[in-house]
Amino acid sequence: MPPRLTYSLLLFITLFVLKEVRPLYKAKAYKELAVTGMIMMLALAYGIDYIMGSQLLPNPNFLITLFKPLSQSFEKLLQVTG
Amino acid sequence: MEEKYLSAQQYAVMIFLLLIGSSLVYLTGNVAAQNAWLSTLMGSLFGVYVLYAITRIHELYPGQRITRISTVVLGKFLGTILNCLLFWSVFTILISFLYDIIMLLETIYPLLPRVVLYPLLVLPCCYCLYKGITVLGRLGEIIIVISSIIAVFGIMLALPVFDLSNLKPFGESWRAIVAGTLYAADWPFDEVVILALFLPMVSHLKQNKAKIYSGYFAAVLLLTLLDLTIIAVLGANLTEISLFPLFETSRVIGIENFQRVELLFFMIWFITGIFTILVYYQGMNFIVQDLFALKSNKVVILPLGACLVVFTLYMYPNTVEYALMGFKYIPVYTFPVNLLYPTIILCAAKYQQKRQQQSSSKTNPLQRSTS
Repeated sequence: MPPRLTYSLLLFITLFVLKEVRPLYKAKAYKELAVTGMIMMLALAYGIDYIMGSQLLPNPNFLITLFKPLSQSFEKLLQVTG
Repeated sequence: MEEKYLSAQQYAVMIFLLLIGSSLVYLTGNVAAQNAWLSTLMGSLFGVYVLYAITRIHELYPGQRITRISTVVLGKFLGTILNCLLFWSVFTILISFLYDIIMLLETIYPLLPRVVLYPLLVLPCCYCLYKGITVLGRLGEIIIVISSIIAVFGIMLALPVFDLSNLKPFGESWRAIVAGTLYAADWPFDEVVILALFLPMVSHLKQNKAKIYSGYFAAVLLLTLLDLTIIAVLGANLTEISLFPLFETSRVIGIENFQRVELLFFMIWFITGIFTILVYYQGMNFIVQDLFALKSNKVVILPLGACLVVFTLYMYPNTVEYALMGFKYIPVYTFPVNLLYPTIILCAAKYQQKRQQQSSSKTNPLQRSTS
């Protein structure tokens, strides 16, 4: 299943190059180009990590699980079930 | 100053569809069991406050987006930190919406893998956002008619299978009601904070404030009625164990030859769900635009779309992980952020305006004496 993500990413990259990169380069909007390129690279890096199943990159869920103790104490306080 | 793309009516429709679309798949305030409808009503008060705060901020700083106002009133450093916190809140909520819709689509298209479904959903959203905010407003006006008719029709069809004894005992456990209220306040009511980013584009806002609130209260009314319908038809226990309570309710409904009502419900789920994703997606584009001080938000549509597809797969590999993250841990973060973000900015904006007034009243006598 993961190789299918390769096609999806390729589709996004192609559309991005055709729709944004060329006009931005022609307009010499280098800042826009750098920011959008950086976001695209981030998606690509995590996409490749997902496809390879290597899990080399930090999982963003880490930022969510930080709140586990708070969530547990809330559930304990209000006796939330389920 | 932003150009005015949206009418107050379109903005009200946006509020209505955002609330309905984000919470229709599940039951709002479901931890309160048979009192979920009461929790929904009480939780809606938090949303009223958020709506008040964002409109008040916009009155103090008209024509500016809240993400820009935050850096003006709090300074660049603090304002950017707050904007980053809001971005993470919006991002996590958005990927949860995306997962909800995909989970629903999987029940209808079980052979299509998620890797295919995500881009199939995100790319049309990108296309719609490229068309602009006006299209989003008009889309809302079309969707609201269809979804309202189906929702009212569904509730009416459910009336014969209503069992009011399922709604008893009333107010059994105050802890459950409080928990349900807080969950309902976080999802969906505090989510209206995203609409602060659209406020500068609304024309004649001051004259049409009542319209905006009416959109909100109409959604609260519909959600409360849906809560009552689901619990009265399924009962608290069945509601708790079913993954999609409204879907289960619609399967129970049916009169003689008029069966398969769930397909109608699926239609409103899907169209309101897509609209919610569109609103949040556009909101995220605005935040990224302001964080990096970009000239246009359209340039980030496709890169953020790719991020959405990848991160939803990466962060929510299965439903168990999603249930744990989305229902237990994420609300602990999103609730205070969505509530405190407008509160802090409103307090800072009021303080700054007061200081400006005081300094101008101090300088005026001097100016008079020198003149």
